[in-house]
Amino acid sequence: MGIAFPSAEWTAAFEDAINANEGYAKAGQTWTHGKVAYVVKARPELGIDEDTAMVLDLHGGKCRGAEMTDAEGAQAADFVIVADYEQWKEVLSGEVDPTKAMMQNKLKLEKGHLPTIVKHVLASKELVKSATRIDTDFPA
Amino acid sequence: MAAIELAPGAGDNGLAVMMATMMSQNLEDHPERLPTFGRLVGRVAIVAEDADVALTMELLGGRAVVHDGIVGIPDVTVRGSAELIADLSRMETGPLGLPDPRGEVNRQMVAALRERRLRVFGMPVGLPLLARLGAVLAID
Repeated sequence: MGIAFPSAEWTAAFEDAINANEGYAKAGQTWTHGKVAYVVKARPELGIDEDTAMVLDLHGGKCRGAEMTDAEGAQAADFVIVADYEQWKEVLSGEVDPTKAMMQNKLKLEKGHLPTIVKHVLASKELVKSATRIDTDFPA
Repeated sequence: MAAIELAPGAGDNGLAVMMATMMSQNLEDHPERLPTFGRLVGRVAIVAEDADVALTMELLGGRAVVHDGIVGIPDVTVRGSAELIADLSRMETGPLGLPDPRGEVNRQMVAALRERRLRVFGMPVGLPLLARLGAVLAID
């Protein structure tokens, strides 16, 4: 049985997976631009009663902390990326590339400087790669 | 402030939103690029083939309208994967604002062009337009 997504346990596992990923340590070395929040939109039928966010404190190729919060708490992050549960499932399981998902309007940058995100596209891919290494239990 | 608009319907096209945002934020960050933006006149279409999404940038000399899909007859059309399209903004600029042939991303672009994974139509006539657009969208 894997770790349920989204959950506080999964968020902690994501932090560990990022810090265990040498590819992220290299690609994210120049990331000094602040916290990134992934917001999963509410899906009550899957047990996600309200918008839920994972806030990652990323700096210099490391994740200094990760916490689960609500949509309001996510707004404290420097970058906020929002998507439906299904889109996160596709991206975080490695089925869909995050850049492609953004071009298809599946992932939306709600807050933050887009050129900075594009400049660090390799780091974004490594974050996703880290997520794919978690034994995840997606509810549907 | 540069006038960059999304045409009706383009707000649902993630690639169009990305390009309009990139252009707008880049010009805000680099006001020295405004004269180059002012000289941009023509239509540039971009097709992210694997994402099944396309846009047309209507460049009107100091104003730009980004449309969903191919609109009108483009002077230049760029076709490639979502990843390669995103990398266009990461191309390294050398002296005189021209692409630096030693840049890692630039070398990947040359290889993609050679292997026809990235295709540019409308050359060589459209080269000045594409070079100026590249200078406005560059994120280095």
